Amino acid sequence: MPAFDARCWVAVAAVCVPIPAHATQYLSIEQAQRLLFPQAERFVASPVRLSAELRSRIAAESGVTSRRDEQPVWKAMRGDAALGFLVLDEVIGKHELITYAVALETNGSVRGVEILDYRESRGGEVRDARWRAQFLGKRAGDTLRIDQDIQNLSGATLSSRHITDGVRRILALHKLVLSGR
Amino acid sequence: MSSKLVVALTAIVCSSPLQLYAQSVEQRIDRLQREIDRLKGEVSALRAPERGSEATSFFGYGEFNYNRFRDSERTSKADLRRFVFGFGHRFNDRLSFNSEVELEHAIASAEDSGEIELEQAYLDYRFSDAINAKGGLFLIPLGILNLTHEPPTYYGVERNEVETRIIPTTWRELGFGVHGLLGTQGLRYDVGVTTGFNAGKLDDPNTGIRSSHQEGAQADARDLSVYGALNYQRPGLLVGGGVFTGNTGQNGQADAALRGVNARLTLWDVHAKYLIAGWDLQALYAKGTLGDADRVNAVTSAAATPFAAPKSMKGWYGQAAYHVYRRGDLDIAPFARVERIDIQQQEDAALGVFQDPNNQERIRTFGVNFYVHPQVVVKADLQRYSTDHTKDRLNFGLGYMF
Repeated sequence: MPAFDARCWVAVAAVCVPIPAHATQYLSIEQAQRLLFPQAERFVASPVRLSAELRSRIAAESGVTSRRDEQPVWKAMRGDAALGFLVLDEVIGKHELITYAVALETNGSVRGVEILDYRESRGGEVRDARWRAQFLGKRAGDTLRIDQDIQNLSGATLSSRHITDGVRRILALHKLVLSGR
Repeated sequence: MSSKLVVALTAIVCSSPLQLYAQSVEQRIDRLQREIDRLKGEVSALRAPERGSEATSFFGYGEFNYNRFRDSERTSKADLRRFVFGFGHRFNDRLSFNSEVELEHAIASAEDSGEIELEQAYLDYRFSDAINAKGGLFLIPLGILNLTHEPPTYYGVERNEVETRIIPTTWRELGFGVHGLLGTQGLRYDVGVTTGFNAGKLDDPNTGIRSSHQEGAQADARDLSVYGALNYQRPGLLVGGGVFTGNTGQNGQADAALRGVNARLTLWDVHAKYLIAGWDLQALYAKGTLGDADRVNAVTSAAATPFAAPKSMKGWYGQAAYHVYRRGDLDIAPFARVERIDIQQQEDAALGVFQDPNNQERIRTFGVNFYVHPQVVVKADLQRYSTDHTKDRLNFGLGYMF
């Protein structure tokens, strides 16, 4: 009796033919800047040093601890007018880092979230625009909790939770530091 | 002054060498300012989070369970049910390795019932979002629980019985697969060729095909299987299904009685999960058939405890949970689940094997998941079995994942 139909192998081989493709990096920082602030003429680096004191204030405000000593931030400018801030951040998905950027309006509400790097083979659904759109307009003080005002993604539980926590932490950073810049 | 004179004077002043000089200095300062901003931006980008590609990660999950049976004849037990750890390694942006090692029941030795097993160990290569190839020992994408089975991700101390007795979670096979996203609307596929079951190893009358799984341990692989799964996801919703099919006779490698017997197994499922307004709703239906069950009876009727081979198996469950209290990391969610199991066996009076009444079962579970952290859960529930009352029990559990 034939143990296995050889035609199946052909089908599997056919879909495996390598095709030209991009790497795990979906967006460079510059691409994310242009995507989130298309009207901006320039981006002025405005990094925030995260002192131990500031870190503990952010943790108290958001319930999330920062691991870095410095948060990369850019101010999006058009002429002399500030359009908002772009904050670059990293969180751990299940066990790999996710690099993402949060764009904030000058009033501190979320203008957009873009995923720059996603390295895990599962859970990549956080790149889905419909999932990221849930953050639009959120501000410091909003709930921003998974399964509450941000819906979960089945199979991407940890990635979606950790990005949500990250955005909450960034909104606290805006409230405590960026709003004064 | 006439307006003509104003225009003339203005023209003279604005074109004076001094004015031109001042303008060009201003322009140069402005240019320099922009250049400095650009450089600062670049420096900041360079100091941005490291975007290196190579990394090794470590993770784990586990659970401690206590089962107290209502029937005093049944032994109530506390158990370190699972202690799982895993390594992942990313060689570069495209190639990665994943593994999970599980220790069941705390001690694995000749005198104890514990086991050490590899739940997953595979390599994954990303061509694109649409095409990823994997090879090694990996989880079969049927059902909800088989792929996502960390204790904080499901309700109840014990895993549901449909995805234990019909879909044999945690179910993994050796093989090769291709998976990825179809388009950008949340549709994911997974197809592949793997080892399959081995009917010659069936030895449990109440778990359908489960006892003939091979788990990548010198698996008889004369007969291979194929699988395919499709899942659609958008925030709050998951709908999907999968199918797995292959012969299980393995040309009699495990039991000569199956030489030349196909004993084809086909198992499929459909499932859905919906989160809305504090509710977690989940349902699943699974069905399987085993061909040549009359021939497989030669194996099962000769088992230590003879039984009739399964010829068809199906089950479904519906589950609802509601988050009654959430504050910060704390989350309390009571739930209820109803399950039906129906495993039909191939009776054979001559061999003295018949249908086991416990293979038609209805299980009702009521309990609560209490999350002290999104990744750490305390569970308690009550289970009622409609057919085999001796399994009625109270369960307590503690689970974690990181």
